Amino acid sequence: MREQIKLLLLMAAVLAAVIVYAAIPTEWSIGGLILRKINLAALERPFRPAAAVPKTRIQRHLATRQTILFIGDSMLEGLSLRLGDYAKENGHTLHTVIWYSSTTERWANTQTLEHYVQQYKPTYLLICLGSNELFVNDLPERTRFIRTLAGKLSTLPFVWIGPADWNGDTGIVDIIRKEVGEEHFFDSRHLQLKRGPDHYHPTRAAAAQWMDSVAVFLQSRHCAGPLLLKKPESHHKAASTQILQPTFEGYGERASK
Amino acid sequence: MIEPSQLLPSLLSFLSTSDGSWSLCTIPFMAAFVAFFALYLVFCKERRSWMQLYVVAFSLFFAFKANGALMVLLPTTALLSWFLTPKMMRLRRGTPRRAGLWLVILIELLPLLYYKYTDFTLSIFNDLLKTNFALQHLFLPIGISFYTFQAISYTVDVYKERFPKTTGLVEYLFYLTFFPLLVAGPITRAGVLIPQISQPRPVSKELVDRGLWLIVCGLLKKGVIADYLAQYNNWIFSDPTAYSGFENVMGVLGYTLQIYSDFSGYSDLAIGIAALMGFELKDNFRFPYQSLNLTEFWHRWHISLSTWFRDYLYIPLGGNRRGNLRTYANSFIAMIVAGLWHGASGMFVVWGLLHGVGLVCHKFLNNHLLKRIPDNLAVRVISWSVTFGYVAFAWIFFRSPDIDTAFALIGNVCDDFTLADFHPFVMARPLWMLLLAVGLELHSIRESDYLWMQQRFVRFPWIVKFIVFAVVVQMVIHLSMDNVQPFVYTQF
Repeated sequence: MREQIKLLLLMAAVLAAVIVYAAIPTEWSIGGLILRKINLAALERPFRPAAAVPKTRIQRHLATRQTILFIGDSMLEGLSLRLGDYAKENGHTLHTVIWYSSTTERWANTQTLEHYVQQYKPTYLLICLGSNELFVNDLPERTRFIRTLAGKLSTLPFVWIGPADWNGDTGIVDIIRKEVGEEHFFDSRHLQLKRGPDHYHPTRAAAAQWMDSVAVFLQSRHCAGPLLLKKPESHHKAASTQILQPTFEGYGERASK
Repeated sequence: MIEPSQLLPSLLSFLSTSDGSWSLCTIPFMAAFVAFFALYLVFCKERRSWMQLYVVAFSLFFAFKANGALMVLLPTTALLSWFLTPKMMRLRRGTPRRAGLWLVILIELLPLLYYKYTDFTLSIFNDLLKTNFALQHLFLPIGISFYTFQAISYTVDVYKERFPKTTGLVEYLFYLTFFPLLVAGPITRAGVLIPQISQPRPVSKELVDRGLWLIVCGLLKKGVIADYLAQYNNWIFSDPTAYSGFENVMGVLGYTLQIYSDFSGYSDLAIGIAALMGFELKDNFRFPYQSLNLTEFWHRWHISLSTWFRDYLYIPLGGNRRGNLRTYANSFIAMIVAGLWHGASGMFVVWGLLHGVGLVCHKFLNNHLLKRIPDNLAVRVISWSVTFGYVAFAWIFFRSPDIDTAFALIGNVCDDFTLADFHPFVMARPLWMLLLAVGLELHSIRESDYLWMQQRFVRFPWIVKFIVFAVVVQMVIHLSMDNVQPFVYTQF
């Protein structure tokens, strides 16, 4: 009986302690000392039903054996070389289309993207665009182009590699991020890239570093369509690269502005 | 801040409304139990009959909180079982008494058959005969599978004269309605509990301390490990193809640990609370995932259910006394019925079927081959791997909502499994992986080590016990979902 009474008192004390702990403020200060309640919810809790993450296959699966179509402007020169290494190392097939001096307007208002999607039948799209629009002033127009392009891209898993600006921008990068969503966008602005003789395009080594950073994002859970991209041990020759000159008007009818 | 004027209405509301999440693992129950236990100790000191009535009243209140108006089934079953069983014994031995036994069992089974299997039966009729009977969508009273089996065991034990027919009404009500056992067992025999109800006996310090240890273990298993693992496992089993093969495998492993932690945790809570009250019940789990074969697994998993099926189905069918073929058939039938007991769904039948096939295979191999194999470490490792793998595989069918989901999961594992997914998985879910690893590791300790840990805990000073208990309760509160995961076995 005595042991049972001790147990009863212990349980009552625990209950009281739990209620008191629940009632005290989350944070309180004694003099200069700030005390915070330990909150285990701050630990890894990836499964919040209330904030359900879409359970699509591309959400969590490290995709393998993908056919990647990499499109964009001249920044692809350096990026695609390194991506070619990754693709070969990880069993992906890479097709690159570099349209020099292209902008979101060109890709949005022509059927060039659709042309290459039909030709290569990719399962994954990578795009690097915006470097030629860092200082534009017609942002509402650009928003329309980006929105149109995002709509075209969203038919497949895709990631947009944002431009690595070195002197700020007038807002194009934030617009791209907003229109495509965080999980489809790699923000390159924090990268310190060594520029080549033209003071614009990164050097080959810097472009490789740029792509290495993108690869980390592409493998992470922050990316909507994670790809298996183990770091390559050696260099592999890029196999499939299409070059479109600045004067190229684009495939299909140009949509009116 | 709680207003004093709101206390009485809140209390009345608590006493008069049922609560779907009511269980042994909630703060409202803990508060109610502390209040109950205080008065219980007073009654124990006064008169035993008052104590018995008090516990019956609290048990019926517990049943009301869990089941609402449907709680009337519990005292009704108890009264009918108590009244009809001695009447059955008045019949002449032989066929009349046997017929009386079957009638009483049928009456005891009727509520379970109606509430649990009506829709299942109608679905089968509709599929086979192309009829169009409307399903009833009946609410399944919580615990009905458990107390029905308890009532049947009492009736059969009295029939076989293993237990006297002279149990008083209050004692029988106490036995059948005993609240720690109500929701999910363990299924306790009359011979174990009723003598402890009738005869006062001193409550030993070891029993009470063991009760606290079991409650702490139960809270950790159920409230921390099982409920947290369930969050991820639910995603996998609801849509396996949305995840990689590796993630599917982790979901299966996670569920294997979840169901054990959930159910054995609840059993620990039930046995622990009974121990606090001075009632000694038998263990329901004995490290089942350490088993080296399926026969051993069923000697360690849900022991109260497996022994019930052994004593009240397998042995009456002939057990192992009618030759090998009949033994295999009896084992198979017992497992199919055990599968059906778990739920009115084809998936549980498939699960029972898998275990039936596995048991038959083991018995066959044991008779013809296994005894010739040396008992060394390599053989034990292989035996354990095969047994654990098979049990985990069978859980896929137990947990999946339908056969398509089960096969989709298995197909996904076969097609899409790669160990390269291990690192990103661990990076994405470190706490989940930690709980899985710790849970499996703790399950692998020797029984002697477990008893050593229990003894160490019992010898701790009270302040240490207070800290441990408080931390565990706080962890349960923090790691639980917004709504407490119902015990997996309360669906039965």
